[in-house]
Amino acid sequence: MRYSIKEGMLSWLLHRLTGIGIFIFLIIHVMGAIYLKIGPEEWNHHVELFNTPFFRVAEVGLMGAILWHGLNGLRIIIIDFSGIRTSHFAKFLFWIIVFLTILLMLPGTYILLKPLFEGVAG
Amino acid sequence: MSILVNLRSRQGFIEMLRVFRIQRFNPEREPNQWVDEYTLEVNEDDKILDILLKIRDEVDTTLGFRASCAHGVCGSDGMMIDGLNRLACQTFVGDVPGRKPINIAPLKGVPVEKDLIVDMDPLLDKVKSVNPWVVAKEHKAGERELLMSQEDFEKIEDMTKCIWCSCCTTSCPSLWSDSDYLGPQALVMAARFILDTRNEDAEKIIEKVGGLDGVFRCHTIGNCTDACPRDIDVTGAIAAVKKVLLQGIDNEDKFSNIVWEKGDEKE
Repeated sequence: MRYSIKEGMLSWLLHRLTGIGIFIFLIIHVMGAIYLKIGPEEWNHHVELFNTPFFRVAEVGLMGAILWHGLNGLRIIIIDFSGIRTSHFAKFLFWIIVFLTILLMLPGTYILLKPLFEGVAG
Repeated sequence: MSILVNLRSRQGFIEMLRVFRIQRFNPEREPNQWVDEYTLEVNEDDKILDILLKIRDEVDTTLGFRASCAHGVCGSDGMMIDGLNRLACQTFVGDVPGRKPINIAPLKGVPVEKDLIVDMDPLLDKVKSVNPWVVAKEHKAGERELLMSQEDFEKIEDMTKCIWCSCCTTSCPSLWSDSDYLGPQALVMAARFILDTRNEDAEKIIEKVGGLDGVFRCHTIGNCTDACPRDIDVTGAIAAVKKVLLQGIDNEDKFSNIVWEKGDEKE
């Protein structure tokens, strides 16, 4: 039997998951820099990898994760230090950051996924 | 809301069949964890505790749970009812709307000893670890008792209502994932004694709650405030401790040598 999931718990769950996701990305990101030491050919090959459809879609996820993690951090600061102490306000802020995350993801998603569809058309 | 439910059912005597799904645990049985279902004829204004007592007395005498005063004062019958931590003696059948089965499970995040009985010691040790008591200054000659002003008391009045039921601490996802986290109950006690103007040892409490497993593990999830049977603003109390840690407290003299510098403190 599980505890009922409300907005606050959902935000915490997403905060954790996105935190782990960002950490895994950072490992890949930093380890990738090793190719700089190996040689220019290998580095170019490594960077080409991020042009593949899989990584382009994954980067959309990465962008969402970073946006959520950052905005939820701001939400926690606002709840703690604004002095407005109602659960309605906390829930309102939750839906505000859901909206902001989706809104801010739209242009980036367009830029990241556009080449994929161009490839299909061309 | 429960009052309304009371009136309605007394007028009409709405008797109905409800299913109670109770999570059982017995360390000596194999498998040691299972779920039992009991179907009972109940009223909307029956308390969950009365139903547990009825099940234990008339249906299954092996059911284990804690209860003492049965009036929401002792805080010993905290359990998870329909996915929320509440006191069984303060929850009515009508509080779980509809005809769906009512799930009853022990508090989460602490070791279960038998059925709905959990080991409270780790939680109470955490509360004790933050020094939840007043260390009084020396009495002046002729002074008979330590007084605080009405305004000062109003700041902590909310937190003094705590009955140590641990419903808040065991509803906290931060505690489920990190069992070393102090938890809401200990932090409410910390806030109560940090803001108590009679307490001379508030620095010690601040030191204890400022660590890695302290107040900043709180992610303002709000489960604790929802769970509190005494309607304490638990998340608000934790936020007050965060503020004290970051900004210092109004009483500059008392808090001048702790926490970070406030800059031009004295205006």
